Amino acid sequence: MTVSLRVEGLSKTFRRRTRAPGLLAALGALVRPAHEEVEAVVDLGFEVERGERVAFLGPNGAGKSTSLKMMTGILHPSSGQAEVLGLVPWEQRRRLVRRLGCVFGQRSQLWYHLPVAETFDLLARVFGLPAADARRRRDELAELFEFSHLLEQPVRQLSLGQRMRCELAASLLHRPELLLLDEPTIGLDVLARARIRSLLARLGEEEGVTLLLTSHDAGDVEEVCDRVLFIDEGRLVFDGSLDELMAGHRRFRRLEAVVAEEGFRCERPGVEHLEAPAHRVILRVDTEVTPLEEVVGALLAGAQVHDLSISGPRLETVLRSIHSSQAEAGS
Amino acid sequence: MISAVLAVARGAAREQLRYPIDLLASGGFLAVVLFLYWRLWTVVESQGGLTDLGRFDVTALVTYLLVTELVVLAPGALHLQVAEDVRSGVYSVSLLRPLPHAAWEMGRALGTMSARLLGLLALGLPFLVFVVGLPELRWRDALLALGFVLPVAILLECAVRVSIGLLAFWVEDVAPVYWIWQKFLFVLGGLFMPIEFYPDWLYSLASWLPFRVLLHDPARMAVGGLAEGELVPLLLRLLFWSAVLFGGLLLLERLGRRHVQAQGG
Repeated sequence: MTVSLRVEGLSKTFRRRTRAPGLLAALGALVRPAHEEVEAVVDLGFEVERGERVAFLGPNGAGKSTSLKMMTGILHPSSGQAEVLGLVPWEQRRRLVRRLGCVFGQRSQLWYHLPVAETFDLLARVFGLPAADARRRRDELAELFEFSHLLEQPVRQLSLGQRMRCELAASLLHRPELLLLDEPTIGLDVLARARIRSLLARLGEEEGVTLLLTSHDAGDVEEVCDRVLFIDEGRLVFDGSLDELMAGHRRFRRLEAVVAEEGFRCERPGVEHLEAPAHRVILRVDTEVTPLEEVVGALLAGAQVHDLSISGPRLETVLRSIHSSQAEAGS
Repeated sequence: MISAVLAVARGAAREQLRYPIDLLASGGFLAVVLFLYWRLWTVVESQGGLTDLGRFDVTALVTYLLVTELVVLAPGALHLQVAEDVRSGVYSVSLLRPLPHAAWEMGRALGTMSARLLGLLALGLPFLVFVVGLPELRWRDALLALGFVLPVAILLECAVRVSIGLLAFWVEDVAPVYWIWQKFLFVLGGLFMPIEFYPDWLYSLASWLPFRVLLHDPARMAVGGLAEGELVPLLLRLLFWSAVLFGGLLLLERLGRRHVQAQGG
């Protein structure tokens, strides 16, 4: 397999100006400004092979965007190395971007007041694509992303979901080998999110594009990606498949019941009561400590149960638990 | 790259042309300024105040103002747009295009200025021709001024405004910087009258600064005020200050890129 992206010991430290509260401190800062160093990314290292679909996850401020910007060459790292499609991003940025597609969910590359088709024409010129090829590719993408009927519509008249489909297609016009997506489903409703996810999954399968996406939405990861990188406080804390990520948490089950009684408790080892409204019981059960049937039996014996559901661990819960254990280890 | 820059210019021009009323409003503003200025100089002339001004009569002075105002009004609020791009992070995303950011901005400036010139001239020119009247023109100078020196001067002013916008990497608000630049430009560039009308010490000072290249030189050339042998020095001056101002823009962009942060500019 060919490596699309290789990152080794990548770190980025920002120097930030600090100001104590109060007028005197503000005046003092004019004479003697104080600074602090913020480590945004620390010793990041991983490889992504061609055609892989990788989720790059982490809480806000974890260093995801900073890492992406170093990988695209927008930011210079403080130390470390990166090779993206065989190029050093911050030294060969302009060569690299010809082979790279990027979507930053909150920053549009479409011309707000112009029809969608005109942005595609402009991008074709900027990327130096032959006009006929560019038009054929645009029509192909418009069909795949289902926006042929929107081509002559000004971008400002599009819904957020329609705009995001156009953004994605625009980033693919020059047939990039690697697609970097920063929160591509941010702000979208459930239907639009599902549509974007299925398009991304199809794109990976049909065009063999390598995908690296950041998201706060577990659904993006579950439906599009086959590998997860989890970054927390600038450090890579998990690198593996979705199955591996979930493996350590499969023994946990979430049991939810609607009961007639108020304040029902099931006191067993390995059973944790989660916060729930009146007449509801929500339990997190470690099945290696107490078998599930024993907990269900205790529940049925001790309470009048109107409804009962059992579910496996959710990705969001797993990610939260990794984040909490990192925070505990840190303190 | 030229084709890409022209494509950006076309996009920017079409974007401006989507708002014809805004464009005509700036043309209307220009017509009002020209009207006030025309009345002012007419009064001065009636009092015998224009006798020492050589070739410049009322029509030449109003035409001079029309040309200088085109340089000031055509670029629009480019500095604010660039500053907002820097602050919001749009600037950093623009680095993901295989086109230098300065080239992108100059393409955008070219398109904006072309569309705005149409709006400005749509009302300013008829006012000049039908109300004030045209001055006695030297056609070679007028054509060279309007076809080359004036567009280059407007592009230089655009480059300055983009540079001021890029200062957003270091300062919170670029508006005061632009305000200072604009006042120097108005006075030392000769917005309202040719700098030859100034006292000697001020004229000498203005001669050594870039402002005259942006306003005075194209306007004076357009109204036929250029004396014999002045053309070559004017073109050399234009070339020199183009190198300095475009060089300054590239330098600022290079320095600013080091300040790109993760989320914002």
